[in-house]
Amino acid sequence: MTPILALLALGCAIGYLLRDRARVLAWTGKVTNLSSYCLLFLLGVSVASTPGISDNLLLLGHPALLLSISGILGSCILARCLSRWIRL
Amino acid sequence: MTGSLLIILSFLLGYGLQSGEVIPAWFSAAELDTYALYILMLLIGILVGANEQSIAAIRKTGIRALATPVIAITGTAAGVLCAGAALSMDLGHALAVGLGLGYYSLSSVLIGEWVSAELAVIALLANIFRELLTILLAPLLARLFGPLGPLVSGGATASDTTLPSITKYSGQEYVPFAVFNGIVLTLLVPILVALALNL
Repeated sequence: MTPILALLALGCAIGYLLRDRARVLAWTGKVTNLSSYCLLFLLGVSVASTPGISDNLLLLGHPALLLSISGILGSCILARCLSRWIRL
Repeated sequence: MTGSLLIILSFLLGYGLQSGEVIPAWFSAAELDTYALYILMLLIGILVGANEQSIAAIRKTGIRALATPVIAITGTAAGVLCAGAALSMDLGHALAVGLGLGYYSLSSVLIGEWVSAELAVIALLANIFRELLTILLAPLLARLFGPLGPLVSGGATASDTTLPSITKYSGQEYVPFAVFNGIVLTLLVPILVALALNL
């Protein structure tokens, strides 16, 4: 975990220094997208090679849906309750 | 939406090729993805660090802008803890999935790296659903919960994929808050997921 978070912090510092270099940043954006696709491809590979998941991939949609709805509702209800005090 | 579609297709391609045994046995996804993840984290950091929109947004809106990421995080945490308890899930795992805050590409990969492929799939689906539901339900969320509803529901996606819906249903004046919310949460997702798994 530590190297991952350390790299994020290092990236922020580098990004701040490079903030005026539009071409470098445009390139960084493209490579970021590309590495996201690679990682999701690799995640697909490791999910398919994990025994037991392939058969019930769709069954995992049920807890996923419940978690996403409850997350949305939780944040929306809190926003509603606090909107009286927070005038944006 | 093209980006979101490509992300899902990349996952399905990897899944399909491995299931069809097209990928040679020596290919180790586990080793490669650690390095790819390191590169991605550095790049995300660079993009967030260089993003002047977030600084411009907080200059325009002041300290009040901090309210929305705090609401999105605490509200989501409360919601997913209830759902996790109802599903008899490990609460740290439920929290980690929820605190992906819609950032499905990164949160699923992190969870795959730190926990299991099964929880990674749940995180991928749950956070894709969060983005889709925010886009689809934005008018309803704005009516029921006020203009902040679509914004906190969008979470980390509020500065990109869900921004058009937020702009339309919350109002133009909420755009700086949405952008700030999205950028701050994008940066916080890996930290929050790590914290949730260490509780």
